[in-house]
Amino acid sequence: MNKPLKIIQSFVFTILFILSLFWILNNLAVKVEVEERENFSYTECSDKYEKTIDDILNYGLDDILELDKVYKLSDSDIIAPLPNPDYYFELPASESGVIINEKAKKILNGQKLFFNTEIQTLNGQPVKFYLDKTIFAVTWKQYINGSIYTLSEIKIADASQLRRYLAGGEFGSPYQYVTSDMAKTVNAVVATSGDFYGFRNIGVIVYMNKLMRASGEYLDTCFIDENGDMSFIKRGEILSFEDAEHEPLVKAARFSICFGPVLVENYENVAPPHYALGEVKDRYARSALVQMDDLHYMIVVASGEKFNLHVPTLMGVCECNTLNGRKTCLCLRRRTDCGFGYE
Amino acid sequence: MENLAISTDVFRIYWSSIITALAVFCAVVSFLSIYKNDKRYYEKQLFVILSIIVSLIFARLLHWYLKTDAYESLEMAFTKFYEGGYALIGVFFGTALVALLFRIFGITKNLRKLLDAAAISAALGISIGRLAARYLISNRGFVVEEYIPFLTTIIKDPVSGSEEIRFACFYAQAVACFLIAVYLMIYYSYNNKRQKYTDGDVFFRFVVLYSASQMLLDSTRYDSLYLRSNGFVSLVQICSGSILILLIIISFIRVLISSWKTVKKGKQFLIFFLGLLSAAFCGFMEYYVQRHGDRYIFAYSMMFLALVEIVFVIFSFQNTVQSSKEALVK
Repeated sequence: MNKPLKIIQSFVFTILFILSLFWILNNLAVKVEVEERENFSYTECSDKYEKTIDDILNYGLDDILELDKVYKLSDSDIIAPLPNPDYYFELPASESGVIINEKAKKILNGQKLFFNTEIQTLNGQPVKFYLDKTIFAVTWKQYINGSIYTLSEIKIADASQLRRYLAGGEFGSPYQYVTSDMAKTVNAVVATSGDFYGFRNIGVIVYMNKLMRASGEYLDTCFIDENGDMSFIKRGEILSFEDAEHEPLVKAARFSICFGPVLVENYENVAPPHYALGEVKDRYARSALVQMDDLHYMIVVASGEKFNLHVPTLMGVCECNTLNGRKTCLCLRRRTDCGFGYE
Repeated sequence: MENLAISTDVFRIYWSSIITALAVFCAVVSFLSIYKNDKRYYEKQLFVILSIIVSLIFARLLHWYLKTDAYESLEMAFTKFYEGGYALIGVFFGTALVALLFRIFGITKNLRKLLDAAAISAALGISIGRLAARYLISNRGFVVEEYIPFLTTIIKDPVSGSEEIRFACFYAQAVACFLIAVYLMIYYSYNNKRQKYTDGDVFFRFVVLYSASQMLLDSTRYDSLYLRSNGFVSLVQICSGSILILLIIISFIRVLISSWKTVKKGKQFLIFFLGLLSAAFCGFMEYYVQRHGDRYIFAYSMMFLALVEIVFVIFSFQNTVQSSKEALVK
């Protein structure tokens, strides 16, 4: 080859190569952009300011005046306060009467529990409790219709205590975590997995009051509002992002869960015979989130144990008496091993 | 947060991007030194430049497609290059496309030789590039109970700030690719000197070894890339597994065709079924570790043995084919 041409060629190549290396140096790393400091906005800080003042007053006047405390968590504070391990204990079901009738009376506020002292737990295992001023959780395992169910009934003082945490702390995070690790990260008292939103590109997803995705053709979606109430939009009702943006339920929602189907709505059994996901007619481990009453929930998991892998169909879950007469219920994802963490 | 190396008013450079650039530099230099083609001097230079550009495009496009939620839009994916991520498998697609186009348009006369040089360079480049994990937010492996030097790293959870001990899967990838690069260089040099080198053989071995290593190591990551329709098996594992199974079948057919009369067919059939069985067992172990994550030591050990068996089967077939070709030449 002509020598001058070779030299020119090599020069051009070297320049292009150096430019590409410089581009890689400058771009192939996640940068944190420093934003300009915005002017102080009282409106934005007022929620946190009022909460801080309320907490100071409540704790300061604790021994002087009996004030109704407001235990509100901010959704933007991803990590919740650490539960107190001293409030966790285990008792046989038969000896739990004092707990549910007296100690938890205030937080239950007249509501009745599904759990009772007559329940026969699996192999006589003790029932797990967590009880403090803000949350009462009782978890046990029992046989229902030949399947082993893990049930956790929770009563909270404020709707903000029902929270959703996404792996990595943000929507669209590329990371996947184990449920137990996630529960530990955010100091959950009771946690359940149930909506692997990254698994499929469908579903109506609201997170931190913001609509993230709106592909509602195949899935029922459950919306949790500021009162902690579960509301539903059925599959096919929202087909576009614009529809979702104008939907009142979406606007009012703190977050959504979209696996489904809806099993109970307004105390009526509405479980469908067919559904796009979850192999509803086959036997798989399943979980469901039930709203028993105001700020009163139950997580139902039918996952079997090593010695008994009998799991129900979707209708089998509906037929167990855990769902009868409940306010609302949404089926969460079916898996070969559903589970939840209990801190 | 990534570690900053250089910060000025004009730009900021992070340690991870320095290591990535160093990896690209080493890969390119090794490719230019290995691939000898004095007659068509422009060929390798053009290949390098086009490969870098097309690979970056494919890597970015693939990452956007598989992690759409991480991007505001496709436009954002190709304007804010420092956000989101890049899929290494896209680099392979990009480079393969460029190589194929070179062959189609006659820019290269010996595609196999080109790919051999690219294979050694790729192994070297990946082994250096993966060390950038030292300066990234996490080493992206699963959580382990005890800290083991070199095999685990202590990282801070990006949300809670609590410390976690995670398997250093990127370091493991770096070590695996380094060993592959060393093996390929020794194999290439040794056979070249003895004039037993066959064009394309190094690339073939790279594909086998890298696929086998990724089949296991990608399973240990907690940020693997999945197709939109399937969240069980990652794209890398799908490609690696498919390649290994395909190579078992193709190599077996080549053995039968090349040495039908001389080869011991019973033995070859046995090796073939052993290879398929190992592949099936490997797949089962992946399913097992997803269901019983706490038994990862057992599952990954079994998977490793199965993959070693698969590599042995494919290389055994390859050696049989080469031996029969040499016998034919003699």
